[in-house]
Amino acid sequence: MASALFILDMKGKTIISRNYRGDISSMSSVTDRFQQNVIEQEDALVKPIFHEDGVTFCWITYNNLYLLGVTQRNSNAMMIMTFLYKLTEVFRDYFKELEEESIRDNFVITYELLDEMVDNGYPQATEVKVLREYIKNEAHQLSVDAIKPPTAITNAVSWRSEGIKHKKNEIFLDVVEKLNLLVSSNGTVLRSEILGCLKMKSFLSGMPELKLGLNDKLLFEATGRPMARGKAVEMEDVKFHQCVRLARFENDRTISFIPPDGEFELMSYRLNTHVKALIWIEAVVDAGRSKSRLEYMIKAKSQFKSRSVANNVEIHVPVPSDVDSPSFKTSIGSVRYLPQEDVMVWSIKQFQGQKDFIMKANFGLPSISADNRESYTKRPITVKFEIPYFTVSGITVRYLKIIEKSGYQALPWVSNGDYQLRMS
Amino acid sequence: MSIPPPPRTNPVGPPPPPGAPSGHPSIGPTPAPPPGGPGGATSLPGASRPPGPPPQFFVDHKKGEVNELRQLLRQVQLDKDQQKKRDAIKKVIAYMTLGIDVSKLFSEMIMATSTTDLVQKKMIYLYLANYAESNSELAILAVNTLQKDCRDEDPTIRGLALRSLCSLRLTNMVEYLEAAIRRGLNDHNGYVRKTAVVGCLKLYHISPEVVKDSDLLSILYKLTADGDPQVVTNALCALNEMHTEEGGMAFDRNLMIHLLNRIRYFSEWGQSIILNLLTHYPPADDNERFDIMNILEERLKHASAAVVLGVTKCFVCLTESHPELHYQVLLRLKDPLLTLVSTSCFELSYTVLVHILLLLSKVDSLGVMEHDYKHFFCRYNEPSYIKTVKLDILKTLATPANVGEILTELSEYVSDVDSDIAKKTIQAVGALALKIPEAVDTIVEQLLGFLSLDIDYVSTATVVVMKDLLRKYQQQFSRVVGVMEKCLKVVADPEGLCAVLWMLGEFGESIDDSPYLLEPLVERFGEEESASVKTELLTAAMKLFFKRPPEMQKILGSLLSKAVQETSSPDVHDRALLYYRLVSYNVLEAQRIINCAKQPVEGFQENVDKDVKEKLFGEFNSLSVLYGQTYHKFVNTKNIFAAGRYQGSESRGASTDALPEALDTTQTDLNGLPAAAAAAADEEPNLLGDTADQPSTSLLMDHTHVPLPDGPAAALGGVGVGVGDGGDLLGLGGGEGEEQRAAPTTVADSLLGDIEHEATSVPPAAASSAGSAGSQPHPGALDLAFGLTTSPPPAPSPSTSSTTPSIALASRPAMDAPQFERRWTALSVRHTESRSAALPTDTHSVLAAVEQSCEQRRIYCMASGAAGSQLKFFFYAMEEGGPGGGGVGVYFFVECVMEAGSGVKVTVKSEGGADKVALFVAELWRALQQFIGA
Repeated sequence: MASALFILDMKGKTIISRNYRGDISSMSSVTDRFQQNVIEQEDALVKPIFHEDGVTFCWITYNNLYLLGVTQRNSNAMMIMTFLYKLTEVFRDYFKELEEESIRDNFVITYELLDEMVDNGYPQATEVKVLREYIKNEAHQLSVDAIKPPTAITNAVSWRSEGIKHKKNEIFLDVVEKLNLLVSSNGTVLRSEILGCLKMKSFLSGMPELKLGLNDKLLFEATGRPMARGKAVEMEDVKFHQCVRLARFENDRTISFIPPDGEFELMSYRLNTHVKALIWIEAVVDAGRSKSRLEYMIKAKSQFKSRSVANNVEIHVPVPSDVDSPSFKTSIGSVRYLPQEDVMVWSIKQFQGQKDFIMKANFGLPSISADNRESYTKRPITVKFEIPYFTVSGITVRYLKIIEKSGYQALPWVSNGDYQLRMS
Repeated sequence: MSIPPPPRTNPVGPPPPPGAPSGHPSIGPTPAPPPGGPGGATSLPGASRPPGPPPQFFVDHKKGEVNELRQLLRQVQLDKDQQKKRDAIKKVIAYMTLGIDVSKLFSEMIMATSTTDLVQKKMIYLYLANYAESNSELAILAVNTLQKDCRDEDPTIRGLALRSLCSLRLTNMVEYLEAAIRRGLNDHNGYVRKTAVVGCLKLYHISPEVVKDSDLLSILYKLTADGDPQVVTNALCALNEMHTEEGGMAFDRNLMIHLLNRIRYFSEWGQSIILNLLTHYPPADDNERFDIMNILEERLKHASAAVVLGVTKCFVCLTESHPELHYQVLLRLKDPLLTLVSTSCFELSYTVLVHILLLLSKVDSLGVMEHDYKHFFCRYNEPSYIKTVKLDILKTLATPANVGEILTELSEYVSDVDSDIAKKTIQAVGALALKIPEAVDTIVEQLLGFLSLDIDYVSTATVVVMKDLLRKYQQQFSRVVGVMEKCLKVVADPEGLCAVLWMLGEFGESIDDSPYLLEPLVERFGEEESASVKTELLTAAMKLFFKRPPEMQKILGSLLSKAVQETSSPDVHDRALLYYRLVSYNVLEAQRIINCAKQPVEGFQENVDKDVKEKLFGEFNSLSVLYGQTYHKFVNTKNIFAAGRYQGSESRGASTDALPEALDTTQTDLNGLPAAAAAAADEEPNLLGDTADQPSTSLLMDHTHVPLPDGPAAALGGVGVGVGDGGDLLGLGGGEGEEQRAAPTTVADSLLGDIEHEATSVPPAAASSAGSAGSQPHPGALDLAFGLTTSPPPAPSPSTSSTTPSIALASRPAMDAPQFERRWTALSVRHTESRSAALPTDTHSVLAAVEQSCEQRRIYCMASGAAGSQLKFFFYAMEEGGPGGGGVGVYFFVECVMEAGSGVKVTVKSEGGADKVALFVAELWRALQQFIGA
């Protein structure tokens, strides 16, 4: 797969690197080329995978770090990329936050992780729970006799080690849905799709067997059970965590699994349904005749049931880069002008269903116009919010059975991810 | 223990950490003891230290720090406190990470290996692996400890030691390695087994023979049925890599069934590796094909993008020969792939998109996603690389039914803040027009709309696209007429200006004021910097001259005289002269050549690259797809050589394997040429006038002149003659033909009179070369006349074989790849020489033939390979040493590159004297004689 891995800082300087196969003769020339082709390159020409002189570079960014894999062979590009992301996941788990400082602070563990996760360029164990068996970081002060032969790495259930004990047996299940909406400037919805996932936090002892029931339309059809109209949901493409028995799902649509310990994403799905925007925004911009002021009239309208409430609504409206002296008027929430991003943000803590609110903003414009003044109209308005106890798709958890005693809480909530409305 | 945060600045930078530990020995930059003296070491042996702040890592260092570290290491060896030992070793690793050379501490670190503390062991092993190569003698010392640890009762330590042992990459430790690996392969613990399997592969890279000549391969094959998925995965990887030269490991039915049944127990990496290898198994019949696909189908629900793409590869490969099935399979794959596009991070999404684009390149696969085009609408915050692929996909997916909506969407991107995307969008709109004739009206409307946006790069790109569009849909010109004047004003760069000029020249008769649009440009001719604009202006003025002679006469005259005086660009100068002579030779003929009616262009050559796409299907889910090239183009054979793959006699098989592929590409290149030549021949009279229309293909065109019959060649011959007896010039063509045609000719006469002296005062060199062009056979003449002088083939060096003494070379001197490589890099170049090549068109056998021919003369091949159309060899030879043949003679090393187009180039290195090198070079050329052109 990859011949060497690099963790680089924002300037492209190596913090830590591992040359796995010894076929990268000059590690420093790799970073030099990376700097030329990524950091010093124009944005429009930067690519996440490129090659120079027979060496392929695959890279991602995370916070203030670059993670880079290089290879000299015709490797599986997708595997390198997914592996780099897996790496960020593992580091995050170990260091809480993955950034330059946490890598520098934990350079020994970073080396150890890099050594356990890849050997001779091929990925090995990457499950955090399993890695913990091998890497005794400084936080665990260990005495020599505490080392037991680890079992999990060779187990059939590779994502969970045996003998896990929790004082309190708990499991949490969240349904998070993101609505991708593309609305044209004349207000028609060009495309809408729901991306959902079930997130679990499992703190269960032993080897629990779990069974999850959803209002999956195909399940009802398969079992021939009657269903209430409109209650079942047809998921278009489902993907599961490796712990779910896929053959079982294929046969009778039951989702049964032994969960890994801790936080994980159990499944994700996509729905291509036509949904209307839950919060609809209309924007009127008036430059006036004098061209010295700019007036915005933003109308936000909630289109969900009146008993639901959207929390933490944030409406980002782009403004020209050279505006000054902002003034805002609104009946609800607060408005901030963020000059560094050239947007104003209208935040509303709670937005009840079936309501509409208006915000008016007024900006001054200098008489000498900035070059790209008009380009703000090309940036879309974005809206972020979440509605608890509500999913756009209507998916609900019918039951979660745990074989091994414990209780669970399920808390579905919808995060209306990010949707973009074009302004002009 | 907790590690305090490092200083915020660059760790190697100067500022000292605040509060550097004063009581702590050595590391702080503050009051350091005198560097390195042995007195320092004895002063505090094992003494308990005052509890100071915890040690600092990544801090500034001074010279002598390494020595202090050495003392520290020695001190803590005697200490009971494991934590102190850990800290000391950690400091060494920290220095290593900062790129400070701590290899001098090797012996101290080896002493520390005897620890029982796992944390220390790991750090020491890391250190060893890093520095073993530069300290191979010392590394032997570590082998003992490592070997002992390979027998430890803790499997973690066994595995760790084995991994480190194999990672030392020391050629002189092969025997220790093999024993340890064998033991590891039989270990009852899976972790140790899988480490041993990877160790086998590492051993293979150090010394392939040891693995090949033993039973290790068969043990590895057995381990593909191991109970531990990790062991199986690594065994598969190892075997596959060892068989790279045969195109990967062989897959039999049993192995395939075994893996398929257990695939769900593998990690996502294991699964993707298996899926990629499964394509090596050819299904016996359709039933088996279906069985495999049925079992794999559930894998599409796996959360990992790598697994899903792996399944896609399997499905695509399994159905390649069954178009009907292929289509159904794509339908099944559609949803998972689209989900990956919208749920993944940008980098993954990009990778999937590129693969989708490839899948859609088969015309009959388009239907699969025809209705899903909206998935490929761009979002504002996407990086350019994603937008670019999405544009390509939208272009591919457009049909008469959905083109309207796609166009509306595309017009949104034209005003994208990213100018590059805006340009690509406009190109996409143009491509849609060429693809879907029904949409042309709308598209022209839209293009006119883009012009009214008044953004300079948008206008430029629009004009260029418009020009292409008019080459296919000439009748559309009537709608564009009105904006020509505006176009000329808004375009910013030479490319756009060229496009406008082309349109003015081509459609000048329908534009009322076309001559007057050109006039200012002609006036400012001297200020124009771009040579391509100048040549285009010449062509446009010429064409317009034939269409509107009275108005153009003056303008053309002044233009030609300006252009002939032009000295900075030979292209412009020669073009002007060519036109001038053409007109003076025969105006009617000139009109026929320069201003003929053009056939509408049906398809553009750039869009036809089916062959490559076809090959890419075979390399699905690899970097090839991302780069849109087969792997030969970007995997460097030389690098692989450096990595020890193409070695000794094995290389033969590998390189000939690679050859057919490479040959295929050259053949397509060659095929391309006649096709283009044929196409050019169709438009033959048009050729000269049109070269400037297609800068991208002009090179090709120049080549195609050669085989052409009379047309332009005759014209050129005429040119030569014309210059030769300049007195005839004025008399030519006057008063002949119909009145309409006569007009330009008479006008030509008078205007020629104006500049006649210009032409004859041409720099003498050009004149004489052009003059001689008339009398010589035409290939050379053409080159000269066009100013494209390709250097004439070098005169064949006189053969030295009969007169000069030859060199005696030894039969089969001792040499192996590592030695070759070492000496090749160490020696300096003694001789380089290039000669033209005479490679047979059927180069299948060349590789072997060259090697054979050299071997007959006792020049032996170390490695060879083909990269693209290039053949590359590394040879070695040794002078017969001493009269008895006992002594060791001088070695010669040769790198030889052959390419059909550019010739044979040899680079010779040797430590021998100049006379010997010369003798050897002569011998070498004799060996290569049959591949060198006259």
